[in-house]
Amino acid sequence: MESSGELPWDAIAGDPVAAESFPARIWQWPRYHLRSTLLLLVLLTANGLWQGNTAYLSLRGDGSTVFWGKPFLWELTGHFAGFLCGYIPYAAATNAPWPRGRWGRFLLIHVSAGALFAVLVPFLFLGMRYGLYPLLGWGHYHYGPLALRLPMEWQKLLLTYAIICAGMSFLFQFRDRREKERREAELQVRLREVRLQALSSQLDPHFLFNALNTISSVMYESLEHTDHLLASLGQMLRDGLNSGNALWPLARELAHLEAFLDFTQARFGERMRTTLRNEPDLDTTLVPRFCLQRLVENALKHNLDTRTGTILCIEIEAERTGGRLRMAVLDNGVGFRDPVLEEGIGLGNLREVLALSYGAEGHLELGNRPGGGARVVIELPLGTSHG
Amino acid sequence: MAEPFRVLIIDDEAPARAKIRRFLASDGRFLAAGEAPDGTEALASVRRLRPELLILDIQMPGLTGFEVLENMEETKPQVIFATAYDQFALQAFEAHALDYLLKPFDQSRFARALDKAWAQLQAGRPSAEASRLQTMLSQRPLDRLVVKQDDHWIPLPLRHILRISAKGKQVLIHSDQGEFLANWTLQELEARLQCHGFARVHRSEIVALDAVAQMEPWDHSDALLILKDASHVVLSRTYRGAFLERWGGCRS
Repeated sequence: MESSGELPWDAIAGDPVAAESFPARIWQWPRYHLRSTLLLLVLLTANGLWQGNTAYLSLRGDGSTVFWGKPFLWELTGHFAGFLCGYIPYAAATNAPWPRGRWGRFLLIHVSAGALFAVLVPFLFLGMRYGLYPLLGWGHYHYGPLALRLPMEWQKLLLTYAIICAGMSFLFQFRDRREKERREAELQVRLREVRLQALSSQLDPHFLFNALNTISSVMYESLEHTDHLLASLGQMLRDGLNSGNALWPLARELAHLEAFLDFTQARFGERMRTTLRNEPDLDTTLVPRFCLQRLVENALKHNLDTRTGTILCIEIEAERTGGRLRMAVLDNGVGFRDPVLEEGIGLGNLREVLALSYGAEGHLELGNRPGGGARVVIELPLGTSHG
Repeated sequence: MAEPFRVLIIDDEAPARAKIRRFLASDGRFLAAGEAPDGTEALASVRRLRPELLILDIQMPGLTGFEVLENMEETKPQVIFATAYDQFALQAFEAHALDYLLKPFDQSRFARALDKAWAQLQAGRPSAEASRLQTMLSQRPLDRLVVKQDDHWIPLPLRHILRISAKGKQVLIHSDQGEFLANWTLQELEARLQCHGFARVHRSEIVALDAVAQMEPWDHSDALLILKDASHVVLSRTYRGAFLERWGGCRS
């Protein structure tokens, strides 16, 4: 029985929770994402148009008579060149988002990538401008003195590079953290499911072999009774095999309990008697699988020996009280001396199933009846489908 | 023809007992002398009927089959074990080469077990199997002790036990459910309860480490232990070191 309480860890092995965003290899080429790339192109084009307009208006304000298309072309080619080289900061930020104690590697990557960016971008936009001017009939393009122009571009480009890398590093960190949280939450859900299944789905092998033995004994006395017991065993096996959910309708629990009682009645005969009282309309209410069976099993386990000669009477009740379902199993046995200490594996499992399924809304209460005997009560919210 | 051997059938299920009775009826070498539906009745029946062979179920409400064997007084009948599913029992049987029946069993398997038992009963002397059985019982981990309460055997979980003292050839178990005399020796219990949080403190005393509330010096190098129930036990010099090591360890 103990072994059925163990977690099948293999079933949930797989992804480790904390996959750090540390690149595993020395260098990795990040992948292009078409949607992000197109979005970036649209944003940069828009920014280029805005900057072009700004440049045009401020030139006009300074008294310049520059043709309106030229500032737009300058800014758009600049932005487009930046777009084409955007992979450089992307790759650098992917491989070295934070120094993390490895300053040498961090600086090497960012100094090289920054320099490459600062050289390649002007090279590209100048190429575009020198090519496009004649095509548009604007004559030759004059960039101006490089000694002034290039430092102007570089201070702009290096700052841009730094902003892009920092932004990406923060984005990666945010994404990793969210991913980790999502995976942790998923793992919690899976753990809960696995735990619930381990707790509730299995048919006790001890019961199964005893049931087979009962059948093999009863067989010598009554074929009809044997037939009935085989049908009951079939039902119990089906109930044990269809282990999808930890909760199932009360009607099925009662049918299962009836099959279980067929066996206990055959085994213990006149030594026990059971009565069942259940309110109608509760059939579809969801209850933990095998909950009543476990309570009855528990009553049998503790009471069949000490009162030889006395008939053990077990009463099973299911009723609605104030919007909740109350199930009780009462017996006339020895009762609990100390309910806390005497809560065995079976009842402990049931308590855990209730906690996992209903949180604070599910109760299991062990106590004694005023006239002697144990009284175990389960209370849970009425619900036909539980989220 | 010789007298048939008397058999006691111990099983909590009426149909299972009926089946064994049926099987026994077809074998003239044996006679079903009685039946018991649980361990407590089994002990009473053994005393009354003095059977030569037990067909003994392991898992029963109340006392288990092993506890029945451990608490039988003078009679030591031959035993055929029967169990449906009990990992520990099966391992123990395998480890000590004891024969057992797995439920459900058919008549031919049962007949083979009877043949074996008959051969040993015929031989009439303590068999190797019987001594292996004793070894297995003495190595069985104890998770509770069986005690007698008004002619009635009940299992007493170890957590209820405060201390155990020697009393003649028996031991007196002091528990929060009263005092019980039991047929053990203190040496035997000391060995088997050591890994369950019990320690020898005196030539005639074992205490549950959890039950010791406080320790006070006493004369010479003995000390006085005060237990949860306010009873006093002497901790003698001989056991002092070993006790303190375990008691301190369990409180830190």
